[in-house]
Amino acid sequence: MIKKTLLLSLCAIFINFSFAAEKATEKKLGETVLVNVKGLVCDFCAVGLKKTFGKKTPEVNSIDVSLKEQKIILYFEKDKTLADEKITKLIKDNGYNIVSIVRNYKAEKSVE
Amino acid sequence: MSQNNWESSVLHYHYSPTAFESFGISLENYNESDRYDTNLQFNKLLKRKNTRTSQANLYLKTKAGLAFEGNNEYFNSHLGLAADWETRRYFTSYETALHYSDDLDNGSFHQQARVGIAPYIGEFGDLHTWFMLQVEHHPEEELDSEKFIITPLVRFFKGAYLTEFGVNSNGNAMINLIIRF
Repeated sequence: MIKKTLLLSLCAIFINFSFAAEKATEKKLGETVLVNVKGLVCDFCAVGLKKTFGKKTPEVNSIDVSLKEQKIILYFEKDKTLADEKITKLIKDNGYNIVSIVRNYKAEKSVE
Repeated sequence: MSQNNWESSVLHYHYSPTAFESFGISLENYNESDRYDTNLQFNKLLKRKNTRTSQANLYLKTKAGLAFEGNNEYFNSHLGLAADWETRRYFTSYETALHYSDDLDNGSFHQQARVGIAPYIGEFGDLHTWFMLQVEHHPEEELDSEKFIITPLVRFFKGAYLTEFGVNSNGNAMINLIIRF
């Protein structure tokens, strides 16, 4: 009986911490922006996008890239963003063309 | 970037402030002589055409520096054009170059083409594989076997690492490695 109680308590604590951690992490993220592009056919070349939106733009928490769907999803830090013009310039400097930019995009993300 | 084939071994380091130009330095060691070249390299993307399924490029490639052979040094230069077109399944490229080195090469013409196919299509971050066929044409080579050279090769790349392995029609190995920093 004591063992069961202890085990249930540990599970409850673990779940509580997990939920709290997830909520805390969610709080860190701000706006999500979808950028539809053209020319994203080469994985090797697209590595440059990770570098651009990783190290060079502190406003961006992380990015997802899909070669199949020709899209880039930008996850911004809380209360941070970049103007469309800046996003366009950064992606053009990487050699791709912008099709559209969608603000407040609802994406499923596994938080890193 | 490291390129190793029947003719030479090249170590090339370059920096691209944008996708449209790169500046670098290359060191090239020739296999069948004691010649080695040290060059500054500048490449310019002249034109790019992006679609939802493909990308086509036209590059200007230039090199200038010194060639060393024995105790002598010579001015050395390359001027070339390169074009490629690729989708996530197919790849084609063509490159042509003029080489000149004082007293070593009074102007030689070279061209090379590749076709390739990806047996499977991976997503960003996957291991990508390409089967390619490379054909080189060096009309000024003395040996007939070195005027036209065919190299079947396989290319792997994942993330920032790309490597190629092949054996050409003369039985010489080719190994290339590119790392993006």
